[in-house]
Amino acid sequence: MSPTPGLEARGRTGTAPLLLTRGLRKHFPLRGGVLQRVQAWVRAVDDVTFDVKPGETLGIVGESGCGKSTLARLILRLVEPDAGSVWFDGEDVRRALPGRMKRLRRDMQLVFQDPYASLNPRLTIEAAVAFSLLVHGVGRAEARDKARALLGRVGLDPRLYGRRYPHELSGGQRQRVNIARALVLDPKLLLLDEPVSALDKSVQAQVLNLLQGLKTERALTYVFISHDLNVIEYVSDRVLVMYLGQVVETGTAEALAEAPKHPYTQALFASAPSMDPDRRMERPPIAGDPPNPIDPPSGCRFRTRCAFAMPKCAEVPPPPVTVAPSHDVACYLYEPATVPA
Amino acid sequence: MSLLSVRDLSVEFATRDGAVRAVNAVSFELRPGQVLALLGESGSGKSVTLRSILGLHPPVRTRVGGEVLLKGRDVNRLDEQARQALRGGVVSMVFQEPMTALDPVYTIGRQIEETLVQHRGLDRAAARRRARELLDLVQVPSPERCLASYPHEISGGMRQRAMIAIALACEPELLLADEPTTALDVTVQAQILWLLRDLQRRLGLAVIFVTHDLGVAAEIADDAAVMYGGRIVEQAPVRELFRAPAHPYTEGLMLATVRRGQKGRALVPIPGAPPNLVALPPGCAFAPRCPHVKPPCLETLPPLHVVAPGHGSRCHLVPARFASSPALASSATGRGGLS
Repeated sequence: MSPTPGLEARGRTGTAPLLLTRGLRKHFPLRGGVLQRVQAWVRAVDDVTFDVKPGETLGIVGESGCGKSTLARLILRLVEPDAGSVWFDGEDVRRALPGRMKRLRRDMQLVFQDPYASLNPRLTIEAAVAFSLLVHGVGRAEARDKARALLGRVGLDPRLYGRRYPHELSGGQRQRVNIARALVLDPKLLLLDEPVSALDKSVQAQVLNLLQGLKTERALTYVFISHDLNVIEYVSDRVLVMYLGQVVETGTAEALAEAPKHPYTQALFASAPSMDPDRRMERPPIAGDPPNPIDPPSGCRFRTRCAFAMPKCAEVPPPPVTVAPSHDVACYLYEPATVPA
Repeated sequence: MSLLSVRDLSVEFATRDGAVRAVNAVSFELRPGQVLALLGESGSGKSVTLRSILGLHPPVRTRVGGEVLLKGRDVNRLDEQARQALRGGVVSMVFQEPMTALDPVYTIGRQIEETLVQHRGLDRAAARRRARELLDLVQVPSPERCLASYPHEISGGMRQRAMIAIALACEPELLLADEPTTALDVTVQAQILWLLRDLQRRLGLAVIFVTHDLGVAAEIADDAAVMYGGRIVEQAPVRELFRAPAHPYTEGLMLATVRRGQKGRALVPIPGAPPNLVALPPGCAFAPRCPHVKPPCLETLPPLHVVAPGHGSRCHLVPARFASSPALASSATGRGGLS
């Protein structure tokens, strides 16, 4: 690997990525018995590599236990990776010293799924939004003004809502507070971990529109994590599909929606309800549940549910092959396309 | 004859902040073998309606009005013993979270057998054989292993299948399903939806399927009733509902839901938030969020207007907006009976 993957990637794509990961890995030990020995490993994230260009929205989609939330935490170093690297804005995040890390975390903010659990119940929402400014050394008056302005922008009139507590707000309003709080430090990148999954559909649309508006206004870059394919297709420029800790396919949202290649991506799209009573599912696209990420299957982790599994799928995990420009699939069914260099 | 007839059902919970009017004058009918989706967002009253059919609400601080006639007998007027018999025979329920609905300290086999011994009076050996058959029925791939497992030892999809097996143990005529696929991954949801549809057809079950997901309703239901603010605001055959929604809330919900191929077009959200059930407005509960709102909407409760046979909408604007509809006629009582 090149010592500065940022430069290497710039040579290939024209613009330097804002965020990139190379071979990111995290296995959590499971301890048990009297001596608390390690009895098994949860292979949460295994060899994950991707780039996110400035201004882009990268969607990460997968089912429960696929490692998508761990991935967000690895990027922010809320969880230390076992191997691999994360580069943000040309800087190696894993080598950043604590002071520098604090600065980097200003530029990379995380929005969680549960808008209630992630707000301090004893802070008014104005105080919650101003809090991180105070932590980062901004004066009290300036912090308050900035917090109020942002609350107004996310649709919560600070005169009406500023002094309310989280329990006095609806789910959608709480998620607006979380978005304001993430934006108050003027970050470059927002990591959104299932930001609309806990919301009712009518409110989901409000929050998605707000996120799209803010992105354009503030030239933000998003990493948008969701289990909902329709939402992912709607918000993303490019999509990364994860299964049991590994990336199985990456491509533009259009390419994946129109011609998914990996059998898992195909099953995922085919499993989503059609919204049309005349086009009901003929039969379930795949059988079984996703296996436990503790001791996942050898080779390709999807092979136990795959209709096309071959003997070699059990041996070595298939490496990603490029089947079309910026469309990669990790599956033995595909040969690399002959793309002119 | 209808299997279930709900007439003017209302449910109120007394809380510190006042009476929460969770369900308000809900009426509907269900034929044997019919699949009805109760569709609505959180707080719309869909789950409370479902629980009323089983008489599951604790008597403390709860006021239930109206009638729930199950095969002609009013569930609310039965004593606890008779209700118990009803739950074990005519009707049973599948919950959203199998992990909390199943007992963690007994094996799946034991829990199915217990149901059979209690409600069907089978002996242990017969119950064991029947439990095995039931797991085959819900297509558990290795039934013996599943029978011997505790709930935490099997996957979410398997747990939901086990719960369906328990629900089917007493050969009910009516299955109540409260968001049974919401906690599942999408590939597993597809399997469970397909299984429920298959079982429904094979066993001729009537099903009430509570869901917040339009897509799920489209997959499973014959008819759908859309709930808002504790009322059924629109009811129609599911195809008709998707083809020609006739209530502004239903239309709004369809526009706000992200679908395939919508990329690049702004979503049309419903502004505002659902109503406070402690202080419901005198008029239409959706009026404060409705793009078509007119003065009468704020004052009087809209009656149920018939848009087409079997399709009703509780909206003042139906006569004006759907004037061309040949079948248009306002129902006299403003509630119930859509035939």
